[in-house]
Amino acid sequence: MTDSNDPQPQEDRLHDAVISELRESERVPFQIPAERTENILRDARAYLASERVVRPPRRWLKMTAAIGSVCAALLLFLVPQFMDQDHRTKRFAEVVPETDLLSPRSRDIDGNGTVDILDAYAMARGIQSGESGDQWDFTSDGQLNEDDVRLVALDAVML
Amino acid sequence: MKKQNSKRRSLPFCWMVLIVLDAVSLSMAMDRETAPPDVVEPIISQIEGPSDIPADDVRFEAVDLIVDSGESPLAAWQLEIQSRSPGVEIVGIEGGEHKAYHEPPYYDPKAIRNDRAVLAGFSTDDELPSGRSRIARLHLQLEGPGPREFKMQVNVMATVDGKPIPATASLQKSTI
Repeated sequence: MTDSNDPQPQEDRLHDAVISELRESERVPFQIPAERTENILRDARAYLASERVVRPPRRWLKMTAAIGSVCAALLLFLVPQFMDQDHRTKRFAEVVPETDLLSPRSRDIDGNGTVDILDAYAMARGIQSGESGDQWDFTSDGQLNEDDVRLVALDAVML
Repeated sequence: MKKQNSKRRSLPFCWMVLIVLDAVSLSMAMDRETAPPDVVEPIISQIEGPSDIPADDVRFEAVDLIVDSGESPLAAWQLEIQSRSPGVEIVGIEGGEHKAYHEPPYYDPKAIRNDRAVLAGFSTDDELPSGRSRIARLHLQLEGPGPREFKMQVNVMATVDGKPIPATASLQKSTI
């Protein structure tokens, strides 16, 4: 039996018992047991304590590694050059100790980075054509002559 | 509880700089070890010797250093000679056949009684040898039988004005 004045159809309404129960729950807030709250907090703390915190390396460790790597790279490149220079200087001093201690590098007349017979040859041709000046006076005797050329040639053939 | 890992995986800038610097240094160091493009390959020469003599037998041989400069006049030369066989000592060094190189070449006195020498010579004369010419003679003390092998490294072969020329060098027994 339907009521024509009722706007909501009968089959859409909840059961009265359900309606009353819902109204009852809205009036009284839901109570979470304290024990359950404590359990949740305890589990959370235990979880956070067990996490391994990965600390990033200290900044100074990075800087040390960076500086060490740069130094190693520079040593790899620069040390062989310095060793070649020292060896060449000692070798010349052993053979002609009475001459002045000019670095063999100044005897590189043609500037090709090596003291060879071409330097002596260039020097001889220069002297022959009237070259003067003390830049080639390797014997420090105030003269440009065969003795200076000979010094350069001897330096070229050193073992 | 799920923990989200939101770490960024990016290479720090300082490490990138280091890697680039090390790579550049390493490549530069390797370039220095590489032989320059104009290095001449060493020449290997063999001097025959008697095979029927005792091992402690000592003899003397003279070997000629021959240079063939082709059509270019030889104005300056430098090369290194080293014995690859035992029982070889250099006991004397003479000059060449052409008057421009008649005087003995330049050499380190330590080459005497040694098995290695760097020889060099030049001439500013107007008349210079061209083609095949003996530029030096080595007097050797040899001990024992068999041939002797020598390695020659040409450092300089130049004509007038110091221009390099493609000259060849060889060793052969003297015919004196």
